[in-house]
Amino acid sequence: MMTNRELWQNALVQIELGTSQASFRTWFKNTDVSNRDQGTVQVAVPSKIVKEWLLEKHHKLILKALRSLDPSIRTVEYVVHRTQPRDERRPRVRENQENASLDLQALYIDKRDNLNPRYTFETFVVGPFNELAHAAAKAIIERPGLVYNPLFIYGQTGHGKTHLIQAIGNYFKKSHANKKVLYVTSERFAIDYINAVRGGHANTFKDQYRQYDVLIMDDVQFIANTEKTQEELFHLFNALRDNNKQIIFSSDKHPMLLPGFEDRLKGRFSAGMIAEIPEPDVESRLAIIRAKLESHGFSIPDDITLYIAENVRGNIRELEGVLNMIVCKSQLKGKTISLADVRALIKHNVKPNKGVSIDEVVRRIAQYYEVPEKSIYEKTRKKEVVKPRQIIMYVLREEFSVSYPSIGEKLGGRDHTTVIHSCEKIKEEIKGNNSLEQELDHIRALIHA
Amino acid sequence: MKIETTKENLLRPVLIAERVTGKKESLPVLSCVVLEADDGLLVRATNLEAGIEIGIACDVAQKGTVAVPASILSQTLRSISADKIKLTSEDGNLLIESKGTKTLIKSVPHEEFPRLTASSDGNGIKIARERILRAIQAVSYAASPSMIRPDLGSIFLSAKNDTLISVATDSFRLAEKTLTGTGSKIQGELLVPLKHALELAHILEHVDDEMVDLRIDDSQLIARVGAARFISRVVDAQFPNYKEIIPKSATTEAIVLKSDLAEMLRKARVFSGNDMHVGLHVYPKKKVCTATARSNDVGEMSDSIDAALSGEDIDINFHIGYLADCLSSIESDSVVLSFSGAGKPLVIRGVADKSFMYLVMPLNR
Repeated sequence: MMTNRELWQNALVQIELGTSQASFRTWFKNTDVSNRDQGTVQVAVPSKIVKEWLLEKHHKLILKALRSLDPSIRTVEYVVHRTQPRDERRPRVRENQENASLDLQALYIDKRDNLNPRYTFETFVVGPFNELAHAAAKAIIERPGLVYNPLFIYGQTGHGKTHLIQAIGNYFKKSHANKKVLYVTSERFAIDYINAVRGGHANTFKDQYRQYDVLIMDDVQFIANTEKTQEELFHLFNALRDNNKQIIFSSDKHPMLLPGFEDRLKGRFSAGMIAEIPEPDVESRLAIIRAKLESHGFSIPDDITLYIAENVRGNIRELEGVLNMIVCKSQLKGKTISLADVRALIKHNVKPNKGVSIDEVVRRIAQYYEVPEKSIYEKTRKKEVVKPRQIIMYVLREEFSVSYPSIGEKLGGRDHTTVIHSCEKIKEEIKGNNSLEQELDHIRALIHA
Repeated sequence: MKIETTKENLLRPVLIAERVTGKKESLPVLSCVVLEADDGLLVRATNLEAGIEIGIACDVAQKGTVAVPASILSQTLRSISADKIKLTSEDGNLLIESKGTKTLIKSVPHEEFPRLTASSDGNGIKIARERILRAIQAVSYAASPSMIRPDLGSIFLSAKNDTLISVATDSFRLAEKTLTGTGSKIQGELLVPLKHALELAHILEHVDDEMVDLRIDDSQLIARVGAARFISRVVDAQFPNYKEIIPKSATTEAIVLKSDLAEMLRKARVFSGNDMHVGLHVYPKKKVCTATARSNDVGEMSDSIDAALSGEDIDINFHIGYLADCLSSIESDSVVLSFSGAGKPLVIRGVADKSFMYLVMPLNR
């Protein structure tokens, strides 16, 4: 089936033959098929004047042209789309000279709470990968400060942490006008604190932060190894939480794995609810691509969206970049874009699945259990070495699907039956042993870091 | 078609309509004005984005329609010295006769001319011509001349509870004019492209009737005043939530005479250089309100004016044009400058004029 754009382009070719050159250019410039539904085609036109004219003078011709391409079309409707015709988008030189003036940025970001109104729940795409985090956020909205306090969201860059936590803030701002919300990055918090101490008004700093009903702190990992700032955060945390004020954190790692943080702070991070936003699965990526394209008012064939979803791995920000590139390119060329074009465009964004060498895995796990790396390869059967060795085998098998014989060979020429036994043993043990499961989680995080 | 009218009666509508014709259109009829004689004479023109229809009372001997290029018709009418003129269509061409002069203008087939439909259903706002004219002119200079961002290249009109607010911003400054007592309970918002808003203002300046009827119909704005009807496309965009950025309180306030401020800016302009910088220095404790300007090529100046001051000391730079632009829109002899600190916007209002508010961002350096 033809896309809307193809359908209209082909119809225009026929219409052009049936009208004069001048009237074709005048009346069919900036028109498009905006919607198509069960035999009804909606033609988008730039103004009401054009709408009336097409309806009165060219309706038969248009209907005939469309039906010759798709016999199932029964009726044609005209709608006025109120966006600007493209040829008027020429930038003017004058604007550049004016840039010396400060922009009214505040039009877009509210300075009092730093929230960007762009981030809302309506634009947040929920998939299996971020379900948990989304549900937790929704629960907080229902009963702020009471259910999960603090909410700690972690995940790698570009997976939507900032979007989600800002959406919470924006929701409170909209629905509870009396609640004071603040969104702050940990870096900003640190700078504010340092300035306050230097300026000799540390107390006003304390009071200022304690007045908020909802405090959202993004990217806490950036205040690692800052002893005094962390202490300040610790006291702020206690003060807010004692008063049932909602606190929300985000970071790139699980709180327990955050380096450079004091234990008492880590403990507090973990006290409420911890939700991970892992890498989106293919279906979610597909949904995200569709949502983004829709916001651009742009559509591309399904096979291309699928190709992008399957091949552009990594974070959503990259995905967005790729889509912008595609939209821009096709606007530039003024035609729909083909799969080959897309392939060429995104060849740099397609990442091969990251390979981790077996040696690397061995080294990391040996380090984790604090045994010498060499001992893993040796014949020794000391208890403290046997367990890490078995875990290495298990991880290599489960995470990286290395074959049993080659695992055995790599780890000091062991028989493949030994490897099978080890993997089975660990699998069994996980079932009854919670702490082992946790250890494995940490190890996975270490290897994939 | 055969009609008789006076030059004055015809020339003014033709000049107004000429401005609304399409300039580089491929369809010849779009650069024409269409004269339609029925009960009276109807002068029409459109560029597909906006359209105009003006009725003229005249003596119709024979009904008919003719379309002629706008510029040729207007030039011809302008050069006629006699008062009475006779228009006749002959073999599709337009014959204009006046005392001693005969002109024949080649016409264009008028069948291609689009219909300007506009329903008159629903509720509109009826408002005095002067007032709506002020509402456009008081803010139009603050809109962006380009349509790259449609919301910034348009004038925002918002009707609510007996008031009509017009706002424009190019993101460096913002002007807001409030009309109260419109006598209409209509609620609604729309964005009119700057170009068309200025066209409407031009029309309002050149008609005599005192009441304007504004309404919206199917993504177009319709303005009726007397026998004239103007139709404009409206923009589909979200106007920024500008109320949020207006500072709630001021750290420094200066009340000055508008004429003093204008004079001071005029002096400073000479030395403001290519960057158009002017520095304002307001020190309430020392009772000083000074403007300074300096240009490497020209020289420098400083000028102080009398002012009633309060609040903290402040030094702040502005684009001089942005400051001076708003003064003619303030209907009050003295103005209040409310500063909110360095890097924060300055709000300018008239002391007695509550209907107008202007906000300007300082310069970066």
